Amino acid sequence: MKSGLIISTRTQLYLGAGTILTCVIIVIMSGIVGTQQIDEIYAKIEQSNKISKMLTEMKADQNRNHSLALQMVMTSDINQRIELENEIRTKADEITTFHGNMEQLLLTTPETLVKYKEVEALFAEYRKNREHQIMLLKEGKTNEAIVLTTMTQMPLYKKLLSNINTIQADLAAKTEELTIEATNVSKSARIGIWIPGAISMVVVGLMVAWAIWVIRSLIKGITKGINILDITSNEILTTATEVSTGATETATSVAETTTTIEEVRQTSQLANKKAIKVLENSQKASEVAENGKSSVMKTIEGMQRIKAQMDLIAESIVQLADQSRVIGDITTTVNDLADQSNLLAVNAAIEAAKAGEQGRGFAVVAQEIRSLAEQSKKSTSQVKDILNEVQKSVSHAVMATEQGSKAVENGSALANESGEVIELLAETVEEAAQSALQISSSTNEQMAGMDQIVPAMENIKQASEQNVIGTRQTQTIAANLSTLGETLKITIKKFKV
Amino acid sequence: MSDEKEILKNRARELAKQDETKLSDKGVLKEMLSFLLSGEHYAIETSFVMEALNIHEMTPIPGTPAFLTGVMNVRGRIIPMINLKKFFSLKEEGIVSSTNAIILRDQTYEAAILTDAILPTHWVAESSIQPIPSNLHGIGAEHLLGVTGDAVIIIDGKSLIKKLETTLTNRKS
Repeated sequence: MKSGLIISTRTQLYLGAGTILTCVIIVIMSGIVGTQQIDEIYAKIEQSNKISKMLTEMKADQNRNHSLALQMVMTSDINQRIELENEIRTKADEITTFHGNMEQLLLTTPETLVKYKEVEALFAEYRKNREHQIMLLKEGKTNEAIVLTTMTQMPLYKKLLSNINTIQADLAAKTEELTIEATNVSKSARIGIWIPGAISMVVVGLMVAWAIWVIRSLIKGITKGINILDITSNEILTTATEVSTGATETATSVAETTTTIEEVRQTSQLANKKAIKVLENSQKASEVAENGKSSVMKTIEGMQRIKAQMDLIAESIVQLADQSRVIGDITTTVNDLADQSNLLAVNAAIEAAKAGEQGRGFAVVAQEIRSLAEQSKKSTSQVKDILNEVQKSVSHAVMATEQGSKAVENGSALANESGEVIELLAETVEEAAQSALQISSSTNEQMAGMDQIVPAMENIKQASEQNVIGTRQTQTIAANLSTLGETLKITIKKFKV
Repeated sequence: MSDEKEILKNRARELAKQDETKLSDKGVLKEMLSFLLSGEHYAIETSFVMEALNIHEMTPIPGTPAFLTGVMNVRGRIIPMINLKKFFSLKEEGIVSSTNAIILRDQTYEAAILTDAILPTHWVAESSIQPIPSNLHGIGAEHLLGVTGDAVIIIDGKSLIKKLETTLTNRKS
């Protein structure tokens, strides 16, 4: 915010008006003063003009006088002289009257008065000399009169004229000065009018601009307010509508809830019945579990017997394996014996050969022994093959019995586990029975609760109906507000700056 | 028992008859002891064979030729053991670790040869022995008499024993 805006609008208005008023007063004052001054100056100028005019007349009179005096001197006619003398006297009197007037006029300007006094003195001297001249003429001393006229009166007359001219020049100069002064005064008066005038114009312009600005900002503020009003009323309307919708929904929900409560009540009745049934069933189930438990115990015993049998079988098989190994050793021995028999037979044959014809029979025997040895070797190798098969079977049997005993172990473990499971099941069934009992009592309580809920729902229904009425009123009010906003908007639009 | 003896006597007679027919058919017959060596049939005249036996223990002798596997005590006599596969430059195949040996001998010397297996004695006609082509004679071929029609290699026992005697006794001295 600018510092200028801190001053209140009223103060600003007063300030503006005061400035304009002051300026107008200054204009008027300076006009009056200037006119007065100029009037005074013009009076002075008029006066000096008057004086100058009078002096000119005086000069003319003097001229006339002087020329009359000269004519008097020149003429020889006495009548004419007397006429001239009379005329001179009249003129001289006129001049004397002038003198009196002039002195009065020149009271304000002492310098001019002094100079005029000198002129008067010269007049006096001139008159004195002229009297003398007239007297001379009367006496008939014309020559002397001419001398006096030419020698004395002429310079005096000239001096007199020149003095009057000087005074006139002074007066003219003074008039000039006064004219200049009047011009200056009018100039200053013009300045005194123009400057305040200009100031007041500027102030008026500023005030107008400021007023426009103020009104504009006012309109802007009002428009903003109207907009806010519009939005707010719309929001209120929307909210009221929502509330109304919500109330309607509430009514629907209440109706639904009431229906649901009835359903729940029926359901809980059903649940109660079911729970009682569960209780009966669980008692049966626990009997069954007891039976299952004893069966499992029997199974475990059977398994243990099987295990003992399996152990016996395994022992027998191990014995069998040992014995077959012994048989293998024996066959190896038999094989060795056969080999040795073979060699013996060969050696016997060799010996028989050495014996020549005598050993022929022996050679045959040796041959037979040899073939027996071969047969026994073949048989041992067959036995060996069979024995290998037997050993393989034995090892298979060993493995099978091991697997069997393992399976038995697993079986008994499983049987144990199932025993535990059945026990757990029995416990669970017991818990289920208790739960069913609790469910039964709970459903009873539930039914009682449902009966209490029904009137509560009725209350809610009434409250929501009242709510609907209230929101309708609110809607009307909001609509009115909106209309007001519209009206204000139109008004403000008309008021455009 | 009397029956068995009877049967055996009859068989001996039959065999003797066969020999006689062989003698008359193919000239001079010689009884040979045959054995297996690297999958081949070999035979040597039984007159050079002292006995066939299983070897139980053998002592290798350092600093002797490679074909001399070691020596063996046979009833108090020390007998050298010859590996014929190495002697004849044969491949070491067939039954490598056999325990059968044949002791050869002549009037002056005894030596045993290792065999893969000892086979029965049989009669061979001298005329059926085909000599080995002379251009195939190598290191050991001079100790062979030849090959029979049924692919039995006949060893010259006399020559072999002599060769062994000279080689081994020269080495010793």
